Amino acid sequence: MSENINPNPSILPSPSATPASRPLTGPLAPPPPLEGWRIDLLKTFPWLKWLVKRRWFQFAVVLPNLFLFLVFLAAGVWGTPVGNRNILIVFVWIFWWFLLISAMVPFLSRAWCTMCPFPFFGEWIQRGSLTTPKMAAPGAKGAKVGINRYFGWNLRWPKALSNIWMQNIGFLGLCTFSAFYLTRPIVTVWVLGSLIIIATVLHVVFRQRAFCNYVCPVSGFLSLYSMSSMAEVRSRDAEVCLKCHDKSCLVGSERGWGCPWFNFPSKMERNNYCGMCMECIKSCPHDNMTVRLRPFATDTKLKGYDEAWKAFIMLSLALAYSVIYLGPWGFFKDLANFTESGRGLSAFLGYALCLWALPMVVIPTVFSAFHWVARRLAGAEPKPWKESFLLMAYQLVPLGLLAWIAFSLPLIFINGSYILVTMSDPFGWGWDLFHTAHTAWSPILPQWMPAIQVGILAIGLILTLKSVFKQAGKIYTDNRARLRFALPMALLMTLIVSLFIRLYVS
Amino acid sequence: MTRRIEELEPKEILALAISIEQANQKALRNFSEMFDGYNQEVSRNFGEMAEEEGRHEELLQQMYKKKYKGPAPNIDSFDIEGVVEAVDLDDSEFLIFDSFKAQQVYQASWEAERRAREFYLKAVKNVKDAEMANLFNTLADMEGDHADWLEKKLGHKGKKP
Ligand code: SF4
Ligand code: SF4
Ligand code: SF4
Repeated sequence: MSENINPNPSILPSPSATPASRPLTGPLAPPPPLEGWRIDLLKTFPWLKWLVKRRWFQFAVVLPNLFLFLVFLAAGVWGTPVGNRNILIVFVWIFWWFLLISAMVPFLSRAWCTMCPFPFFGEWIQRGSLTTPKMAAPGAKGAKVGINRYFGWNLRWPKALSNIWMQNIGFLGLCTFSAFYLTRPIVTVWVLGSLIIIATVLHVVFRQRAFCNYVCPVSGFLSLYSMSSMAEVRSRDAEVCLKCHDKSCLVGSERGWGCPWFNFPSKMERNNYCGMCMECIKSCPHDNMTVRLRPFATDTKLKGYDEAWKAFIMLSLALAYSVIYLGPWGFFKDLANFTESGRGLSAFLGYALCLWALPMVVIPTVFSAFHWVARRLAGAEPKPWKESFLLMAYQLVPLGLLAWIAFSLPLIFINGSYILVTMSDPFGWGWDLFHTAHTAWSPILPQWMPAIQVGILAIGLILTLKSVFKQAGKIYTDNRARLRFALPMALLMTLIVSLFIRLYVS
Repeated sequence: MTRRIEELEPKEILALAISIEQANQKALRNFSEMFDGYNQEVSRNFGEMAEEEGRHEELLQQMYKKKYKGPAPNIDSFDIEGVVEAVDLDDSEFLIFDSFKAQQVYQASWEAERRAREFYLKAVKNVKDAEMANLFNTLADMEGDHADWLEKKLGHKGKKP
C-alpha cells in the first residue's frame, strides 16, 4: 500500500500576497517536491513503530551483536589461524560483508549502524546511561549538548576535518592491507579491536558520534551508498516542523537524545549521515519523524569533493578487488599478500601505489576529462564546474553499489559452505555444534555466476544512463545542450560497466 | 480541528500572536543551546534573537492588557491553518560540516518576520470587520519594523538578504 504524501503542504500564504514580497529561499521556503512514491513504514506497521519507540530498542539490537563480536574476536585470538576455518574471517569478511552490501545498504540504508557494536562503550560512557536520556540541569555533573547532558570532554570536532577525507584515506589504507586480514584472523582482531578502542576514545573526547561521522572507515561507503537505499528516516510534514518550537529532534528531550549524528532531522534530505538510531522518532513531540520506503537511488546530491572521491574510491576498489580476488591472475593476489607469496616488499609497494593511484588520480582524471569534453560539447553557458562535476560523480553511486553487489555475490555463492562449517566449529577446534562442521565445499550455481553478475551490472547501467540524462537537465535547460552534455558521460558509464563485464565474463 | 486565522476573534488573534512570539523564543533558545560550546558567536546571536522575540511578546502583552481583561485565551499556531511566523534553519547538515555562520541567525529571523508580515497583510484582505483589519495592520506593521531592524543588522554586516 503506497501512501501519497503531499510534498508541498500549503505551509505558507503565497509570497505574492504583497507587492513587496520576494520568493523565499531560506528555511521557510516549501521543501522541494518529493520524487517517486513513499510508504510510511511506521504507519503501515504499528508494531514497528511500537518497537522503534522503545527506549531499549537500540540497546536490544546492539547487545547480541556485541556478544557475537566478542565471540568472533575470541575466535580470532584463540581459534585456528586458518582463515577459512575461523568464524571471525568467514562471518566478518564473507557473511557480514555480503549482507551489508547486498541487502542492508540497498534496502535498509544504514541499519547496520543501528546495531553496530563499535561505538557501544564510547556512547555508554558519553551518555552515562544505556537507555534513558539524561537532561542537563543547573549544577548537575556533565556537559550540556542541546538540552541533554553528556559526560566526557565534549570537544568540538576540528572544522578542517569536518568532512569524509579521513574516512576516504582510512578505508583506502585498510583495503591496501586487505590480503593480510582476509586471511589471518589475528590481523582482523587487531583491525577491529583498534577500531573499537579508537571509537571509545573519540567518544570520550569529542561530541556525540564524531567517530562515526568523520573517522569510521566503514561509515564512508555506508554514507555514500545509503543514498541509493530504499529506506529513509524523514519528517512527515514540513508544516508541523515549522510550527514546532521544541526542535527536540536536534536538541533532545526527556524522550530521546538529540540526533547523535549532528543532523537536524527535521530538515534531512539525504541519508548520508543518518545512522538510523531512531532517537529522533522517540524525541519528536509531534510524532512527525518516520521511516519510509522509497524508490532505489532517490538521494542524488553529493555535497563536496570528499564525497565524490569516495565514489571514485569505491568504484576503483570494486574493480581492483575483482581483478585481485575473483580474476584468474594469481600474480595480483601474490602482490597483495607479499609475505606469504614470497614477493618482496618493493613489489607490494608497487601494488599499493597502483591501488592508491587508481581512485585518487587515474579515475578522477579520466572522469574529469569526459566531464570537460561534455561541457565543451554542450556549448551553452554551463553551471559552475564543481556543480556539474558533483552531479555527474553522483552517477557512480548507484553504479558502484551494484558493482559491489556483483563482486560480492560469488563470495557467498562460492564460499557459502564455509559459513556452515564455522558455525559448528567457530574456533576450528574440531567441534560440531550444529552437525554442519563437515559440510563439503560446494559452490552454488558457479556456472550461472557471470550471467547473474552481468544482469546486475546491466540494471546498474540502465539506472545510471537514465539518471545521467535526467541530471544533465539540472545543468542545461536547453534540450540540445543537455543531450550533448549527457552523451560523453553516458559513454563513460558504459565503458566502466563494459570493463566490469569483461572481467566477470573472462 | 484547525481554523483559518480570519475565523478567530480579535482577542484570540492577539493571544495567538503572543503565543507565536513565545514559541519562537523557545525555538531560538533551543538553537542557542545547541550551539553553546560549539560556536559561541552563533549561540550568542540566537540568544540575542530570543531576547528580541521576548521584547515583541512584551509589546503584544501590553497591547492585550490595554484592550482586554483577564487571561489570554489558550491558542497556538497548531490551532490555525498555515504558518504565521516561524524561525527555522534550512539545512540538516550544518553541524556535520560545521558550516553555519553567525550571520545566518539574522537571516533566519528576518525571513520569519517578513513572512509574518505577509501573513497578516494577506489576512487584512480577507476580513470585513474594521477592528480586525486594524489589528492585522498593526501586527503587520510591527513585524515590518522587526524585519527592517534585522535588515539593517544584515546590511551592517555586509550582507543584505
Ligand atoms: S559509522 Fe561505523 S562505527 Fe559508527 S555505527 Fe556505523 S559502522 Fe559503526
Ligand atoms: S521535533 Fe519533530 S516536529 Fe519538531 S522539528 Fe523535529 S521533527 Fe519536526
Ligand atoms: S536521530 Fe534520527 S536523523 Fe539522527 S541519526 Fe538517529 S535516526 Fe538518523
